[in-house]
Amino acid sequence: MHATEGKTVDCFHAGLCLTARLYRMGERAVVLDANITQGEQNGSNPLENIITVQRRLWWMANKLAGREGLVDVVPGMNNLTLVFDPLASKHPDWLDVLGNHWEFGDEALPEAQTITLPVRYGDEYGPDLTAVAAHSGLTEREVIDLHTDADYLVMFLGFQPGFAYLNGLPEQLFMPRKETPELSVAAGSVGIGGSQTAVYPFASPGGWQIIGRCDKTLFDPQREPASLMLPGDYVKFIAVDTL
Amino acid sequence: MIRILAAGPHTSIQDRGRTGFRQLGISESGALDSQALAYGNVLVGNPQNSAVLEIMAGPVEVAFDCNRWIVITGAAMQATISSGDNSGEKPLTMGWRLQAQPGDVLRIAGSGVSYLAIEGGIDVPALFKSRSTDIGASMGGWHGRLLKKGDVLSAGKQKSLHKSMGVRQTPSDGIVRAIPCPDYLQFDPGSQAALWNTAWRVTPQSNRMGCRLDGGNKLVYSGEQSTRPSQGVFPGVIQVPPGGNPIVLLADAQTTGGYPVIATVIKADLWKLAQTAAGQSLQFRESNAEEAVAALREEKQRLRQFQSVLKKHGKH
Repeated sequence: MHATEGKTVDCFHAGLCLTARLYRMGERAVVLDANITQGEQNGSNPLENIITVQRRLWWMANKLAGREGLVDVVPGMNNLTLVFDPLASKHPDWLDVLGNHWEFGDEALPEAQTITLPVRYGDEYGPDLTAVAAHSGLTEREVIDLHTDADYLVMFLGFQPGFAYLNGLPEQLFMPRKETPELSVAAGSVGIGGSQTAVYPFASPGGWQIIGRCDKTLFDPQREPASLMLPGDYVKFIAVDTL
Repeated sequence: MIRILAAGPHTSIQDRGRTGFRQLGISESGALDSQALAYGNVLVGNPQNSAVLEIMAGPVEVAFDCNRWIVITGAAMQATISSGDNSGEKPLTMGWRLQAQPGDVLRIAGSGVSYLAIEGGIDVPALFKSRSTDIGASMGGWHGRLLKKGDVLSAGKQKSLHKSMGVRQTPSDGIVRAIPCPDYLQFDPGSQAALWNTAWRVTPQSNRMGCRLDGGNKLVYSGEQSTRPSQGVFPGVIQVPPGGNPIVLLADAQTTGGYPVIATVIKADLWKLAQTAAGQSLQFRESNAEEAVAALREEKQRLRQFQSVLKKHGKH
């Protein structure tokens, strides 16, 4: 199989057929991408599909973590990446392992908590709030109301320690990432990137539109668990005047 | 103990990196040039994964108050060691080990990614199974930060090494092998050709997170970009942001990203990115998984052979 080729595997869940694409990424990673299922199922709610798919990926990630020869198991947004040691003595074809787990898998329902995050929107804390308002054709107030009214689900952690990718951003607020990432975004920044929203636990370069700032400690290596938000948790933003 | 008299602009404690915690968003960190790390450690009798100082540029000055074999690997730096009684200063050859005595001061000048490996390894607590410094998350290494003047580090136990031995390091040939990813097919044919034909210049914006390239040719992705979902990424992944200039992710890269991935650099060639200075150019050559794994196996084999030569000739 040429590196750029992939294959597809179906799984069935509650009468739904969910299709995932499997492919290799270089010599030491394989990817299962179920994003092609979104909005393509007959008569089903695409949003529910996204969550159903993600629950299946959480189950797979739990099941595969710690397997001999696996370096990392990384859930993404409706996708799962396995990084492996290509020189490991015990060496299954990890692409097949992904396919089998998808086809015959189950759903994980982690114990959920609801986390409230106070956010100071706009001004120097959210320099791109104006741009998001302009892009969406809303006022800044309406952007804030939409962002705080929604209920969010933690889909996965990535990008930085404790950085939670949240599902549930109202469609009016979708906005592309910046053409060139900023060299530095402040810790606690609340951003919008495409159809996703999140808070940056640490200062870093970043390509998302920054609409506000939150001062909660999102990641503390001395805490157990180190990350405040974990996959399956619910998140609510509230607007505050001061941090 | 060793005391930092001058830390240079970017000196940090690194080992092979922090893997197994990507699902928490924790980056790999670790030495940019894993080969130089491994050879440095092996030369001073350490396990390959021991913690060393990664130096991006001088002037770095380190004072020793103990007997420890040391070696500098990686980029060609200029180094001298002078004894406490001022009896003279002698040059330190890159890749050759030498025993530092109490009172000695090591001076390193020049720039490039290099490693100071010290017999016994730098003794700092491991966090998430690694001693590497994660600058972005301010954790690991020495208080989660770059080293600065006045820091005092301790080295682990002495080994039974005796004579000066070394390795001649191969400079990078500037050819970096990469394997196309499925997104490759969604770049226009001109961009696909440009990936392999362009002399990509390493820009000064490059850092431990990513090697930012510019070659005049912009790579044009025709797939859907704006609502692209984030997925796992790792060192070697070549991302193409909408601007069209590729970025090769390095040790401090984020764990997930949303830009199209045109290809991934094979693990065995990652060190060449560390050894290409800003302003210098590199070229990608199309590779495949078989070649990549063979190269990795060969590299491991070479290191093992070197280790057995050292064992035979370098110890009592």
